[in-house]
Amino acid sequence: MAMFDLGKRSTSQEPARSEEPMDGLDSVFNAQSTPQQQPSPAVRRRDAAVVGPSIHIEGTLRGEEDLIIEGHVSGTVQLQGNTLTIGSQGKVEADLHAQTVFVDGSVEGDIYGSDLVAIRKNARVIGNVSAPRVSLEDGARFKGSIEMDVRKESTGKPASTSTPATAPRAEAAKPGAGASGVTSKDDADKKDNLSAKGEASKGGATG
Amino acid sequence: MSNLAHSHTPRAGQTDVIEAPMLETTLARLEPDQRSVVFDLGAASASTLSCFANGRCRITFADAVESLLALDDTVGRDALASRIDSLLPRAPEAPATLILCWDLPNFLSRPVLRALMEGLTERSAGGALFHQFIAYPSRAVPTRPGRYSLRKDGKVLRQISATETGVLPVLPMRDLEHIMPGCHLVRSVLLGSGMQDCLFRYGGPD
Repeated sequence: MAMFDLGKRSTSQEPARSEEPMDGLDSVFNAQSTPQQQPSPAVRRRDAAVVGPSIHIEGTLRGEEDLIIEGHVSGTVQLQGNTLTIGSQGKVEADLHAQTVFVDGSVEGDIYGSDLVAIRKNARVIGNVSAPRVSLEDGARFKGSIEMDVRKESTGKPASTSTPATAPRAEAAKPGAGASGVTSKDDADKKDNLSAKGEASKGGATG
Repeated sequence: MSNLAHSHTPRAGQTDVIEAPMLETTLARLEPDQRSVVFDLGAASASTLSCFANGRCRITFADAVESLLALDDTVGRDALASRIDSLLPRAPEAPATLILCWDLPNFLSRPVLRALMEGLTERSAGGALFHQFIAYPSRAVPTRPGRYSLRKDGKVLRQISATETGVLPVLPMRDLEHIMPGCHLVRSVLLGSGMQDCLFRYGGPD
């Protein structure tokens, strides 16, 4: 397979999970979590500013340090070169720009990561993601597009350069690949009619 | 569905691996340096995402199955089209080149399916491929759509969500073609699961 099984660029690997303790909250807003609402242990805490659960920010949020959002932010978040974490209590209705974005909470907006966007299993994201590396854990609710061809996007090449996927020709269907029978459209398969090549007799029903 | 002939009871949550040669071959032909725009009607899956991670790819997860199943098909064509438009992610700059419908079309009424396909083709490039698992008319299959994800080897992982099986009132293939504007069947392969592994090609807007 041309693309499948090739590990030329791995974008699905898990990001390194921080093993740092949850203490040392050098928070701007001094977030306090109740025992019932503990942020994900994966959230990086040390040396990051924190928007606490009771904080609601509207507008543009800019900074040059790591930030954890456990509160409600609407607008835009710009943290170029830094790590942004949407904690499990965080609710964000904003476009997010950062080097690395971890999402454990809720995001409605587009996410731009210059390095990595990681959507964790309890996250809920409605919007588009653009990053060279994107990870998505099963269980996460995600509705939108994930753009991993960031290099192309940044060059501004027109979208019309997209190439349609190539339909398989008859001979490309692997014998014994699980087909227990073949039905073919009459005129559509004049040149590559599987049944004419004896595929239907392969048996070996699977699926 | 009232006209289902119930047979046996599968375990909800049970997973099985489906070998879908049409889909597998299509995926095998995607080259890492070829720009692909994939549209998945189902829920986001880490496995599916990882399959496309090695190439120049944009993948959209519509996560629209439950919402589409709940649509009222008596509201009229325009209202239905508007509703479906709101369920699908906004049309991206890059039209889709591969659309993964899974087994959803089996469970939609004709008006909903028509409106869905119109919405999808509006978001698709000429030459785009639509992959579907269409129930074979006389075979019992789960009575609700499964949850599908791709594996790296090109096979499909299906998580069964129904607790019973039945024969679905599926459309004949030719009717299905007519419901999909501008599309024609490339080929279908009957699988042992009672589904047909079907590939349609969209010829582009008229």
